[in-house]
Amino acid sequence: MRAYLVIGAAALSILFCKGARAQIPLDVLGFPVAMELKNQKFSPAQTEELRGLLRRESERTGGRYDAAEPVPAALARASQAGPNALAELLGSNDRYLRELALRALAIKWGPGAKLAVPKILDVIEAPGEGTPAERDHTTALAIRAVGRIAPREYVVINALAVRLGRTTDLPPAMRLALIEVLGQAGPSARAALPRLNVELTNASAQFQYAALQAIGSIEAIDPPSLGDLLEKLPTRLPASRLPAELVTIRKAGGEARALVPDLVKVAASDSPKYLQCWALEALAAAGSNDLCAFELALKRAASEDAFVSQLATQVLARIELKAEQAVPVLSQSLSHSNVSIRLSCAAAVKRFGPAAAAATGSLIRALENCGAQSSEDEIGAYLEALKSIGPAAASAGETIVALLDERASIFQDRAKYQVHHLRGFMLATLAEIGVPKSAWPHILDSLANTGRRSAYVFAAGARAAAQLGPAAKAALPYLLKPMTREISDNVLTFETYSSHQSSTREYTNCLIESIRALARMGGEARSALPFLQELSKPDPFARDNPNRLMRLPNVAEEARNAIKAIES
Amino acid sequence: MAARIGLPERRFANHLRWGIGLLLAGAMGCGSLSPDARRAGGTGHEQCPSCVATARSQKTTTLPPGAPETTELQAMLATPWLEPARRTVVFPQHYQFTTQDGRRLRAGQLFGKPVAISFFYSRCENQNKCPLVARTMAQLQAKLAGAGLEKKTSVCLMTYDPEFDTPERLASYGTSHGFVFTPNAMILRPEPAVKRAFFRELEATVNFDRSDVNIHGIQLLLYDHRGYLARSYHTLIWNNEVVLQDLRRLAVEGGMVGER
Repeated sequence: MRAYLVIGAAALSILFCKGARAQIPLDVLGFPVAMELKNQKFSPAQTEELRGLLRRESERTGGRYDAAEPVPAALARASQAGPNALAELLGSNDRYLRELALRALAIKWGPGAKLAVPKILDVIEAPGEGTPAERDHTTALAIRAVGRIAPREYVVINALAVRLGRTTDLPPAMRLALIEVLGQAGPSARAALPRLNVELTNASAQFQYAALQAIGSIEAIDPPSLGDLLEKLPTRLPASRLPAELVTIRKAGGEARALVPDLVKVAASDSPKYLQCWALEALAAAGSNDLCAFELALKRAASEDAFVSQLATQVLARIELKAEQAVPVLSQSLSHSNVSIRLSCAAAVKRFGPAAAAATGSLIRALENCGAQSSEDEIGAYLEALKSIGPAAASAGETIVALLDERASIFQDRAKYQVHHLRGFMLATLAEIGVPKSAWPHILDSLANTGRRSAYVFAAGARAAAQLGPAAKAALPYLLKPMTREISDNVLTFETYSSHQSSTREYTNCLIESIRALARMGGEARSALPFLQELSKPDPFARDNPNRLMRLPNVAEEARNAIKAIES
Repeated sequence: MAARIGLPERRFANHLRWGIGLLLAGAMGCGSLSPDARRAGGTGHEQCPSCVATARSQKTTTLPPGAPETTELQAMLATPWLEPARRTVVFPQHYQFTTQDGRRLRAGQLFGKPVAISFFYSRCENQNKCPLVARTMAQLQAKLAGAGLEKKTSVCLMTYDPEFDTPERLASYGTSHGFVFTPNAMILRPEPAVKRAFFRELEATVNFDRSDVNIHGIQLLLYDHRGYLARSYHTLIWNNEVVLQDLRRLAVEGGMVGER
């Protein structure tokens, strides 16, 4: 009875709180700005300025102004009168308030804020006080805002094209914003074409490629048929046609594979960077089973230009080679000096699963070379690759055990949560590839010494202990910890290192892993039967909806299975 | 699920208490252990007759490849006992420490009698590590007193976190965990500037994120009167009964007590 009362009171309080929150109309400014308003503590000067604005706006519209009302709520209410208040805020000396107004105008009002365009163009010309980086940030924000509000206005296109041509050393964020916004204008921005053609010679592949896409969008050439495309070599085409060709290749997908040899030639040549990038993107769109394309993508993944490297990684992800062709190349490249290429290789090895067993030695050496300077992602990528190879990668066990040592250099200068995550994933990897004897102290450590909040490490330790079956009996007392709530029952997954999301929506927790370990122990876990019997009773609160975002195995069912395994 | 477990909570807790006790005793094969040793999970039972017998009987059970047998597991949780001639690792001599009462101490001043050293830091939030280590060291101190060895041996706790752990904090932490300060029982604070080098040289199972501890293990180091490492216990909390025997053996070696 008392429990029902408590549940009822909790439900009422939730409803009440929700209702109270809904009365604050912060959403009129658009989600990001509203969030910022909610979280931001304005300085006294900012508050004073905002209050002045609100007072004037109230006088103008004949609305109510209440000095006692909190500024975020009042500002949100005032902005319903239109973008005028926000446009006025663009003239503020406070950079934060100017940027807030720019975002609100772009996100909430969009084309409805055309009256504010002259003031935004003023901001692009004179972004106000601040450090050079701050001024660049404000300018880039203003460019993006005007691109959302009035991208096809002549005055806007002209101002942006002039700004793009005025200086050769524009900050990257500003240059990219100018090129992309001009591209968004489509055919209306034809006047900006000469300027964009100049950008095709920029030293950075990213700007070249952005300019290529903007030119394509302005020229708005219809995509050719695949037959036409196959007859012509892309190198002979003018830049303005290339984006249309890419649309055709994307649509054709695998049917455009006849183009792969030509695309490989283009991507491997000394042609302009925009053309190389285009060829790489076309290769990623067409997919391939061509070894030359694979080797080229690996080479380009090591490019010093991060943009080229990123495109090449996409190509690698689409290449469908047989393991016997790809694994030798991947194994060799796992020792490459460039970390991007090592990461791409590890990701490719992971896709091959057990068929990539021959890469185990290279992955071991790559792991051994990891230290304090290695990124978490890199270590995680090698572990994921080994995990996907499975028992065939058992020889990596001792290397992982050496890395589990508290003194290992990979833990140096990392935050506690990163160290816990690394250790947990290492134990989960051992559970897949096989647990060597030397891992036992680390498994016991994860089960016996883990604090209440380190569910990830505990669950991974339980999973590793399960692999030992009856021999894990020394861990039995610790495996009971989740049953007495000595460890949190957070929902988690070991599917990948970096993501807490499971692609299959199947999750686990410490209790499930412990029950499974007890089941694997068989008769040795007989003393855990009272706990398992308690857990095996049907749970009136269990929700077994298969459409839930996070699915956990049914505890009672797992407990019943464990009892059967122990009693048999 | 949690709510369901919580309903018969008291009965459940009782089940658990004797359940774990029985399980630990069973797993360790030693019926003569003290309560703290039972909780401890036990290591170094090589000399215990009942454990040896259990280990023998366990050899007949089939174990999957990769799983260590019980005796092997115990060996993994402690280094083998080294006879004096085979001891080569010496306590780093060129460091200085501050005690919980603010005294400065050179490393050499720690020795002259066997020393048991373990580690902690007061900001550790994991109840299964530092607080447990501190309490177990306090119990070891009591056991040594019970065996008449409190003046023949030393017991030291050492902080991993000298930046935060001032002498005042160390004194308060020790007292609240039952540690009684005497000339042979103290808490030490290494110099913050050299702590990384010191712990590296000592091979302490700890790592740092800038200045904060980001991971650490459980470790008890036993040094002879000359400052040579005779044995270390790690991973699980050690068994004080076994450590008492080790310290007595070291005291006999050093001529502090006669052989029984």
